[in-house]
Amino acid sequence: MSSNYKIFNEIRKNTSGHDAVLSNVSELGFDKDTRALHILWMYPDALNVFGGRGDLMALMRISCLMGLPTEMRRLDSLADDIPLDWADIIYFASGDLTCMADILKVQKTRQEDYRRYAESGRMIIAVSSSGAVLADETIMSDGTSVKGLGLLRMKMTEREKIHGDDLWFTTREGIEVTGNQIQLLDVELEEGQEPWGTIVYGRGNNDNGSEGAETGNVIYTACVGPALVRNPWLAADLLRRAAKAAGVSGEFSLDDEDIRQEILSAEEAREFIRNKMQH
Amino acid sequence: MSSRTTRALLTGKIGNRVIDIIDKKRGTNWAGRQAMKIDPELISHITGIDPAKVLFITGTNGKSSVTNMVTHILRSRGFKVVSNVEGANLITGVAAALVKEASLDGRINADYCVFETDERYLYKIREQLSCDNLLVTNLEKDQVQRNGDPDFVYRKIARVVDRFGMKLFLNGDEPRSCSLADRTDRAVFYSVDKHDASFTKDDTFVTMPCPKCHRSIRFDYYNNDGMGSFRCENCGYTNHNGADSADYTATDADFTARKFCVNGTEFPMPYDQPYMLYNYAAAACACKELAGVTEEESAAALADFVLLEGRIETLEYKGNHIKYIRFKQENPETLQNFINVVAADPEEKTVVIGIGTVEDYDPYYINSFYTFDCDFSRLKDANVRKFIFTTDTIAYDAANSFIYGGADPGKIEILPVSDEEKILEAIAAEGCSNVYLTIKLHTFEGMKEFARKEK
Repeated sequence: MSSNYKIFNEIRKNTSGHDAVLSNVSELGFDKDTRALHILWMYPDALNVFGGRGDLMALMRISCLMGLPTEMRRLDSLADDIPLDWADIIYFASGDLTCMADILKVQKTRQEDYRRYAESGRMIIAVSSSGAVLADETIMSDGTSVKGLGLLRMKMTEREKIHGDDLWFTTREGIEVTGNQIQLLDVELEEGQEPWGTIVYGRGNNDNGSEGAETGNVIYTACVGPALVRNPWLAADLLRRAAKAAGVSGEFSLDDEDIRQEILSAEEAREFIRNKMQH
Repeated sequence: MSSRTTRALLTGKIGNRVIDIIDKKRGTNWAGRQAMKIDPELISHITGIDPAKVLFITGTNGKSSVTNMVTHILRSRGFKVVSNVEGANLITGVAAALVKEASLDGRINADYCVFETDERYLYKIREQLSCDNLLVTNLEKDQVQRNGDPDFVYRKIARVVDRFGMKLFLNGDEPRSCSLADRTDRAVFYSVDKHDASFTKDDTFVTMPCPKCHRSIRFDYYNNDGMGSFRCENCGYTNHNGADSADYTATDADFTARKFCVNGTEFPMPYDQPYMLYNYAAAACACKELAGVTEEESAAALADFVLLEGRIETLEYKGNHIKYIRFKQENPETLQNFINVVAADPEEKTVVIGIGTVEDYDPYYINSFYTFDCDFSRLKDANVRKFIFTTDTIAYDAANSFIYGGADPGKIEILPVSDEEKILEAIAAEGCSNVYLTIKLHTFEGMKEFARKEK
């Protein structure tokens, strides 16, 4: 196991306080003024349902393994200013559906700033129910609806019954991803909106062969797992894309030897799913 | 009573007898299901039940234990109690329990009815059976394949409370269920004081959204994962819905002497896992509020309380002392409890973890994302010689969550099998006699059977 793994643990240990920045800059031997990739973890306590914390751990771990200087901040309170000028990746984990209206109320006050952020090529990732933040509209089962930021042309509708299963898809960039899907909301992509991937197994957006949505570096996916732990090659690709957009330069490669455990885990998952597909 | 109800009663009674002959400990949904096929409104046709003396017990964790405990205490005081203590907690399980005790004219002759109720079936059950009292143990992440997020279950329970207006017995230390108090003017709280097994988590962990304003809940400490001293920094929501203290508080927990107090009265602690304190406090609260059983009387009754599958079970194999602790898949609280128990033992140990396929509902699937809520760093200095991750579907992935959480990868062995013999042989090969095991119950039972044959 790479010594970078140890760095990750030490970072965790040495970080305290909710305003703290989790950073690997000095541990990776970079000058403290080095431009690092900035990850903003949105409302971790409110959006905490399906192991989203693991995705953030993966982004930090993989950036360490790739030698990519990275800093991460939590945005804890809806009352806090959203540091859009600071962020290069904004990550919304899945959360309780009832939180979405409050979260969106705050995000909508920065709608124009979000639009400019997205147009600049910087990254936003929203997982599962948090797709409501990026969607045009989300309709709840009680008939109420919330308007999203409209950064992805999609409409979400709360399902009467939850759909939980494994998920296996290939992204438009050709990356194979396995994980889980706990589908509280069906997703309808509007005309012109590209999905993020094509389904190999699972329900995806609406049981129609498509999974997620992607415009530039704005991405929605139903995949939990956490997806970036189970698919570190995906984490690496997202980090590289975000670094390029942010102007963080360097050759950031991921050695298979450092993710042997994850490779075996993915093989195990694919085998399990293949068995289900055959029966 | 209609002839249809009579036929349903008779069918249910025969069904109960059949189940008794097959296995008395089995849940009795089946008999109730047969009876309700004949009379879907069967429960509402049963008479002689005083709603003030009916208690429903629901929640994510602990509802079986509390139901057993309340029933045991009330029976020890001489009350006749109808209960589904075998754990069949759907509407058909409640029907089966009632049918068993009802006369042929459909009348119940009992002092109290105490029913464990599945969170999702609560509304249906309450529609047919009038009940004035509801105890909610806690509302945590669990069975996401059918529940989605915990708020989904909260909304189901809230609907029952709003429609039927019940007296609520609430865990004052668990934010989500505690907030149900806003929906009634009859809320009674139970709570647990900070104790030696209380713990904190560092700031990289997440908590939960405030159920009132959706901002962050902060925990000063946890007595059990998801329960402890909490507050919302935005709206000020805090323990026991802001009341200065809970109505029933477990204090002075002494896990060595196995005793604690509720409102100043000393209780024995038949099971010493910290989460049981909430169950004891809940039972003392319910028995006093429902039947006027004093704390002293509850304490006396608990002395001989035996909980099916409530103890850390042990298994001896080739000189290894294997301690088995159950955990519920998809429920981080029970996995955290396992971690905490392991971390509390200073002796050198082997730890075997079998997170497997989730087989609660169709389709079966593999899921380990809930493990990322758990604090594995407590195991870092817990004198663990080896972690063995097993099961044939998700061993590598489960080990990943420990590695990402801070466990030393050099101490991890992957055993991608679900074969009981191979798991036991791996334990024996490790050569550390002190072993902790968490795995599916049926796998553990297979291990016990294999070990028995080997003797």
